[in-house]
Amino acid sequence: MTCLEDILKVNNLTVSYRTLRGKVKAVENVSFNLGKGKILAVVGETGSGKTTVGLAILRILPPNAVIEKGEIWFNGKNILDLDEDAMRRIRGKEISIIFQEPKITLNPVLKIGEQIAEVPIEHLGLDKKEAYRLARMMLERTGVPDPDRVMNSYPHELSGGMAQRVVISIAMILRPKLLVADEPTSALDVSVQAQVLDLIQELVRETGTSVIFITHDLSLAAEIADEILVMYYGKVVEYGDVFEVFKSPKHPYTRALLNAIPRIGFRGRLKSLEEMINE
Amino acid sequence: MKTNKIITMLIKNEKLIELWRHPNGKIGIIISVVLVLMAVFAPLISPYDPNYPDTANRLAPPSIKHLLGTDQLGRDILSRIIWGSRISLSIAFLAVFVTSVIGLVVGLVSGYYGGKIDTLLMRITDIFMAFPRLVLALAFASALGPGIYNVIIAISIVYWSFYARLIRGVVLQIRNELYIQAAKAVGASDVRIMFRHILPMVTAPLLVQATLDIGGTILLASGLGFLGIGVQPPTPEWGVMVSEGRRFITHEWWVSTFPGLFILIATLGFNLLGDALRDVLDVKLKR
Amino acid sequence: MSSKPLVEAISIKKYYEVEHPRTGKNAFLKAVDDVSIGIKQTETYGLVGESGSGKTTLGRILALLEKPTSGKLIYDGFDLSSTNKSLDYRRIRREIQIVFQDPYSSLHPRKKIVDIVGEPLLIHEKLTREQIENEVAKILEIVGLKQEHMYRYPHEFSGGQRQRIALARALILKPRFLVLDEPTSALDVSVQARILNLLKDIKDRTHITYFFISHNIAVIDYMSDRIGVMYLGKIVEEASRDNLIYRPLHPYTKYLLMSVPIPDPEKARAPDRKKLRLKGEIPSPIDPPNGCRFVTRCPFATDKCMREEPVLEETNGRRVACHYWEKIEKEFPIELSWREF
Repeated sequence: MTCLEDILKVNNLTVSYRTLRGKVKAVENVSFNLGKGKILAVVGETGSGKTTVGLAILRILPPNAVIEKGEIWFNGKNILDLDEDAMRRIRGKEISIIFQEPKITLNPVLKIGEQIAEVPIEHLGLDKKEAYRLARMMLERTGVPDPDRVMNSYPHELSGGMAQRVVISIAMILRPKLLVADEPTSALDVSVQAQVLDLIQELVRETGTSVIFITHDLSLAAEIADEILVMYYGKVVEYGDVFEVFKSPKHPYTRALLNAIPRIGFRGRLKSLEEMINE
Repeated sequence: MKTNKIITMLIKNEKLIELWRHPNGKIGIIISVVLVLMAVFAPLISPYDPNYPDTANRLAPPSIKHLLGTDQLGRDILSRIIWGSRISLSIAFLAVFVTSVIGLVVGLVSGYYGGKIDTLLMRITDIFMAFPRLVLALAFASALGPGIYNVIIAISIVYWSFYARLIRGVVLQIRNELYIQAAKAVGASDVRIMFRHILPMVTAPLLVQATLDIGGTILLASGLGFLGIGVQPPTPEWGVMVSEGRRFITHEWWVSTFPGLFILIATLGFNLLGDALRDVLDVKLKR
Repeated sequence: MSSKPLVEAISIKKYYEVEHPRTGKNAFLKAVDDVSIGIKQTETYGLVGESGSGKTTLGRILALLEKPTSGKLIYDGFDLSSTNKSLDYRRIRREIQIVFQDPYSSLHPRKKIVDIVGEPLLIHEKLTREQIENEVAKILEIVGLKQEHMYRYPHEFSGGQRQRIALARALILKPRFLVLDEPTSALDVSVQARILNLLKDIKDRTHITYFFISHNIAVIDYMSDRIGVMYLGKIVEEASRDNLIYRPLHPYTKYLLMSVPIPDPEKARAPDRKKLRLKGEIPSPIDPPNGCRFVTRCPFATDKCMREEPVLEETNGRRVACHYWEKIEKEFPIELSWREF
């Protein structure tokens, strides 16, 4: 799946964490490519290492993390070799990340307008007026009702869905080449989740941003992903086009996951991992 | 053989090992254990009778015969200090114990039931906490009159409100936890929840505070003794000893200094122990 | 199966007095606003709702953990709001149990499993320690754990195992009515499947009645016989499982079903699905809108909807609260079949 249009190439990424019990391997030999304007879903349960992959790409791993080996090629450079200054220039401008809890991601004591405007001010050197205008435009673009009021609000005054749109505005305002989204809809209601997924897809079409969508929910991958990467305890067990993986999954774990998801209208018995192993 | 069992259990206990490894913990354990042993085995290790006036050797400086010297009546200071540890420690342990029990009950009831009971109890603690500790202890100790038990009562009156507040704080944090609700769902009575579910979570901060306060109580009791309130001479209480030796401080410095030194060491030892306990137990709490 | 409901909630309201976040004045947070439902013996009643719907509050009220602000709760014919307490209440307290959502904080961190699971026996029966341990061993086996696990502490177990322990605790008194508040929402998918199957198996073996609360409609569909949909403190629709899923009547239910992600890329990306998207978000339950609660997001809202609150009316053995449900059915039918999912 390598092609000239790839904006990201991850080769043999291996990351461990130093804990009181010794070194724990979180991610082992993970490799994948991401094409321009494509959405890759990284799917796994707790402990699969999916979040670690996302954090590694932005180089915001916790201090006890050790990148044992691997390369992450972006813009013709291995970003694992870059120093912190170079990374800071990339974060927010070329590569952005959004997380699960918008209220924790946002600074509780700053107004929304300031938090969004901060990005173009830092990276592009825009003056305050211009930056605020751009911020307001971005809010409107992400479907926030009454953007002026929201610009002047604090994070705690917003609902979950609105806060997440703000977070997306911050991440996308400079049209990054790559967006890492770590469970961006897990804390949202079903109806709002659908709206946010739509929004992400629209933005992808508009800006050509590629997305790494990290989730534990296979259904979300079915909804928006072009390619899917399934992780199990740090290793990649399945990687391919989303339609193919769902139609004929090669790895038993993928099959087990598919059999365990409750789906509306299914009148059989869900099969858990154990039940599948017993068979 | 029971002692052996207890000692083995103690040595294997995880928390004690961590406490020992803690820099402050080591010092704290050593000092407090030595003091407790000193108090318990006083009759065995005291070289002389603490009240025996060796009139021939009054105000004698530290020597091989009297390691810490003698006071104005010829009594051996080391012996008096050893016997004095009994007094200081019993006041401290008893006072802290009584305070803990009162504070525990008040804190549990106040925190668990809330509402009017809580408001009432907290206003009462407010009143007690408004006075500086020494002043309040002075007032009650004087009012109650001399004697070791009156000192204990006076100190308890001073300290109980702090414990009530502390316990209440913990209870407030815990009472909305899911496992407490689960106990209610299963039909547990209020009393059962307070004493079987909440109490185990309260013991850690309680133990830390109690240990720290043993140090503080020793100091407070000595202060009262120094001022001539509570324990009276000829009882070899450290504060009383310091007070009695004031007159001789310029030339026969040892009469006041050594008891004072022991007050310092004792307070310091228990404070360090409490500090280390807090670090060791806090981590457990977080986990 | 008798037709008299085992649990009947009549006009239950639960209001909290709070400070209005914007005006600072005193306002009412109407968590549960006039809910009446009846749960039949041995059925699984699934309650689905998003955040702010009041489903957890209703669950807690049914589990006798909270008293409603007003309204009646009737269990097995007994009016629980009457002051006839003690003896009856103790018996009823045994028969109604609850399993909470969070497996990490619903078990006492300092107690051994045997003490946690055995405590209900200690409270309600006079058994010896040995007898209690026997019962605990039995129930642990039923939920798929081993006898040795009794002597361990909660932190030694995974989330899925902890939920089993919580389930064991709830089941040891052999309750007749079990409230399950999002019991699998905090668990991984494969673990969830196991727990759901376990719940089904237990139901088959006993005559227990479940009140299953979840925000996940697929899970509700898998578990329930009848489904109630809750929005902003009110029940907006209630029907048998198949009727609700394949022929939803209330606009909220229709749009909700269309928003559920489908684990099949072809069906998920069917061209018509995107057109049916709910706009906006659920408003705050503090001083909710007059008239129909759904008016702020309903694509069919009229003036009448803004003024008049629709009544939960019965039709053909199901209930729906919408002024125009019949009209909407005729003009904008959304008939779904299992093929859609």
